[in-house]
Amino acid sequence: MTNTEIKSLFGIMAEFKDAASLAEATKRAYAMGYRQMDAYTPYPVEDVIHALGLRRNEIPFIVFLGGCLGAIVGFSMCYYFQVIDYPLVAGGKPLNSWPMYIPITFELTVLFAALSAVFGMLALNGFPSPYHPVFNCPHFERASQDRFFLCIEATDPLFDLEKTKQFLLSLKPVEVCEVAR
Amino acid sequence: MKLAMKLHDQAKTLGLLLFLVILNSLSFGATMHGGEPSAKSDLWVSFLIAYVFWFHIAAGGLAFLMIQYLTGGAWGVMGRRVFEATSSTLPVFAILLVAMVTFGVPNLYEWARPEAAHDVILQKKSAYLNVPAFTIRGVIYFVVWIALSFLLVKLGASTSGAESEGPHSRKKCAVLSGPGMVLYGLTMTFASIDWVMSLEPHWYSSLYGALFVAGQLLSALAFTIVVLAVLSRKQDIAKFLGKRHFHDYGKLLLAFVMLWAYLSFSQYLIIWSGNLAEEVPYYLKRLQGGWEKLAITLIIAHFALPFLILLSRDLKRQPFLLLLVAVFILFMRFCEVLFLVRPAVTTSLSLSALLSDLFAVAIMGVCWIFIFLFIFQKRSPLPFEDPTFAEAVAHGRH
Amino acid sequence: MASPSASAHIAQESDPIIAPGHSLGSVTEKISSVVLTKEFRPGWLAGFALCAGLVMVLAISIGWLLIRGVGIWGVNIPVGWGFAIINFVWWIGIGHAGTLISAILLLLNQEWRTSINRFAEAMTIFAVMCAGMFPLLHVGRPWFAYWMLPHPNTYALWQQFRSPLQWDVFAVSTYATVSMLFWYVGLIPDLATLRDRAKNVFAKYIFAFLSLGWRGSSRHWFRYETAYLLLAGLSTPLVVSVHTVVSFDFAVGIIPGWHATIFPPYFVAGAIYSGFAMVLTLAIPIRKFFKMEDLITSRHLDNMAKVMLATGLIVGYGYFMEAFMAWYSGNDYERYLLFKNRMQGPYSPFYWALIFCNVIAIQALWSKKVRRSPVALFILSIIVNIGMWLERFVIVVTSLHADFLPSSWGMYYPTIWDVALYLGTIGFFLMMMFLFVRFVPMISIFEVRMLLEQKKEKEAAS
Repeated sequence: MTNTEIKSLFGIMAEFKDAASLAEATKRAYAMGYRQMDAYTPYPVEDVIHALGLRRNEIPFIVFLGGCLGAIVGFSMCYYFQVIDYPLVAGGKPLNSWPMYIPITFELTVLFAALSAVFGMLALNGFPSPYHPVFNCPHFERASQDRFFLCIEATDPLFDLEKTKQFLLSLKPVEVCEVAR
Repeated sequence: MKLAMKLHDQAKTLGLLLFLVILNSLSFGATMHGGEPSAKSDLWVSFLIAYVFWFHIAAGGLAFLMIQYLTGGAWGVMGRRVFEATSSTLPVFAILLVAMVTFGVPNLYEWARPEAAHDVILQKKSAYLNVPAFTIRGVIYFVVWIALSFLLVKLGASTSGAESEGPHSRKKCAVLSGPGMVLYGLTMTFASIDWVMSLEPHWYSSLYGALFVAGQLLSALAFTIVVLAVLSRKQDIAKFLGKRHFHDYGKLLLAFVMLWAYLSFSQYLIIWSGNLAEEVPYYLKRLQGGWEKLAITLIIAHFALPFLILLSRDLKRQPFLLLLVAVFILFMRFCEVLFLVRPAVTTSLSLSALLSDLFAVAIMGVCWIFIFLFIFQKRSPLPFEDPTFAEAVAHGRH
Repeated sequence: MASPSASAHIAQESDPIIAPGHSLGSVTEKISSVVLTKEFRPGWLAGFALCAGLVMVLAISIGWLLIRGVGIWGVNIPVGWGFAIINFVWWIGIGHAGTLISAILLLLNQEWRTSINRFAEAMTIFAVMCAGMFPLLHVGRPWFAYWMLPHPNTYALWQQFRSPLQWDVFAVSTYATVSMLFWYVGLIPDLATLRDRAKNVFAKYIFAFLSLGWRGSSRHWFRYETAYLLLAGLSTPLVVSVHTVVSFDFAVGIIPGWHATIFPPYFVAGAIYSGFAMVLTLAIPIRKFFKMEDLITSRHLDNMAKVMLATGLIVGYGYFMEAFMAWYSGNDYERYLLFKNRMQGPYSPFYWALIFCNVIAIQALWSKKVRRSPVALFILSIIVNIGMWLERFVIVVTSLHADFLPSSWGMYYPTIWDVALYLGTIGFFLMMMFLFVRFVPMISIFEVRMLLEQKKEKEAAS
């Protein structure tokens, strides 16, 4: 196997019939020491996510920051407009009618938090991604329907075309394919 | 022989309970008999604060008992015995109410004093605010609540029958709980108006009942968490109580903290912005004379602090930490009851009034907790025979 | 919060959420085939045409409004708020069930939500669109609607942030944005399924574009699930806040009948109530027409009916507290408004009709038989929709038509244009629903797959 061939290879993909065998396979691959790998499933499978060694992600923290920012923006906006830039007494209320600024503060907190949840998730997942090598695998369209895939990527330090292939075949998949880059 | 033993046991229990309750009422009655009228009414206010604080836990337990039958859920099964025991203490409050009606009403409530006859607005509502009506309503409330708790505890006990009969009697309890919640909502609203809102008889707020109920549920929830967290330290119980149960309870606690804040804020915003002479004095009283410190404490420590703390997932899964939060919330519940009741009578925050309130809460608390533990310990701390118990335990393991 | 768990399960073991016999492939096939077929069924075409006709009515009434101004409506002194605000509140209320079903039931782990959340969310978005039209048109010059948002301007003015109407701008636009995000995020994996199944090249491109390149990676699913759950957590207080702010539009004023502290929670309950009624109104015919009975089962209907009963009782409590507090306040104006005006005045038939629709009729839902009969539920849901509209009518009109000054009392009569605009929005809403059920998977496919798998695991365990 030459270097260029490896370079043109994204990884090796194994196809499984159900979630349980995929979870088992992922666990074994993780135990073998593979880290640069990913599973593709038609719905989130908790066991597989765990088997990949994923425990915590950044989303809650991003959302918390977004929420705090929204709260600060919301209240200071009301305060600045009504107290500093355009002080106008209405309905005999004090300039800083803080209870009346709470609804907008709340709405902006939620808005900023929600936007950071969605865009944070999309950005961290690298979306939109118009092209990705895994789609080169023949049956991959079933990953969004009823099949489960495990792909060990060529960038993994333990990756070796023959050995990795043999290993994946030993997991009794439906099929194994080489994924071109 | 066995039966005789059992009867003897029950008689002993009853006697003990009666003794405690009478002692309790007497200690209040004695301190409040004689003395200056203002001092007398001051002590009755302390009594009312203690009463409402502990009553919340008992009556909230009744509500949760019905809610868990209606919604199902592992948390409800785990807390069922606590709910049953707290709601079984309701007769104690019925007796205490008798003490209040007999001695306390004119001391506490302006509408029950002779001056009310010259008050135009109070005359308009005298059909509702008078001592006989107050008494009759009190009787109705307690008949409803005690009947509900008695029936639910009794029906619930029969879930312990054969496996095949189990689900059926849980269903029976659910069927009773639906209309039970309707009755509970209505009676509790009027109880809140009678006992607390009418301390300031000119003032009115249609949200008050809902706020009272939300606070009540929060109290009962915090108390249940305390009991379950203490139980989980025992080896033989710990294996049933999983982290996920506490997680669920933590989420519920967060939800009710938010609900309480939402209702309190809505009421405040509407009254503050309306700024009407018949409504706003309620808040004006509570925002001066030192009471504003209590108001700010409530915003920070009854809402903001627990809210931020309870956002953490890890904390909710630690029974001990959750217990600390729950105890703190129970203390804040006392502060809120204080905030609702005390400023109605005492214009400025005074240490002596505060101490007397705390003292009353402590005395009544010791008696109540004793009675609660007595009832609670008579049965298994978790409903092992509940037909859904196994599933509920399995839920907690994740 | 709690699992769907225990008692609920045992009581209804016989009633599955998905009919037996389905596999991952078959649910995918069943739901996506509605979208991916070329054929347009005559029933669908006829319904769509009818709604499109109503949209014409909408276009004409907006056109005439823009030419002549809001004078073509029945609003005048003393009733300056008429159909526009009534319909606005009605639509916004309907828009509450979608996010509620998706968000709260997700947090509560209620798995029965799966079959109904997608189209309830779509319903939310369309209802909010309809709602938004009314204040926009009522401002008179809709092309200046952006004046409601803070922006630097040559007059050096800012909006009045102490006004509940200004809060409304923020609440409704935040709600519309977050609902759309929630809906779209939920759709991404299903759009990928459609991309992978579509035969038509053009459709394939569109779905590929919309699905952003989703490939079902577990690393993605991991973040996706967290984000979705957090969105649900955020949407729940948001839903509550939106109708609360709408209730502030009334309650912050000092007009008898509006200035009541019970308004926020009781408006929220009313919104959820009407929203669930609308979900039932739509779900019952849809499941019949598209033969989705094995995915939207009688268990779903039963649960929705229970939510309707619970919220209906809260709404009834609201009416009762309003009346009781009006009496208890000892305030002559409050008492007059409730007992003389609302209950006996010129609009009293509406008041009693609303009490019948919203409080009395739904007591039938205590019976399990009624809750399980699609026909009965459909009729009840229509009654509730009408009742909730009447409620807003009564609140808005009775308080305004006879205020503190008897010399300025007057009556409110809607004109033909009020009615036409209202019917037009109903047409618009239904037309969007027709398009939705035809071009978007109306049930979340990946969540149904998840449910199937959980069911399989449970069976294997037992």
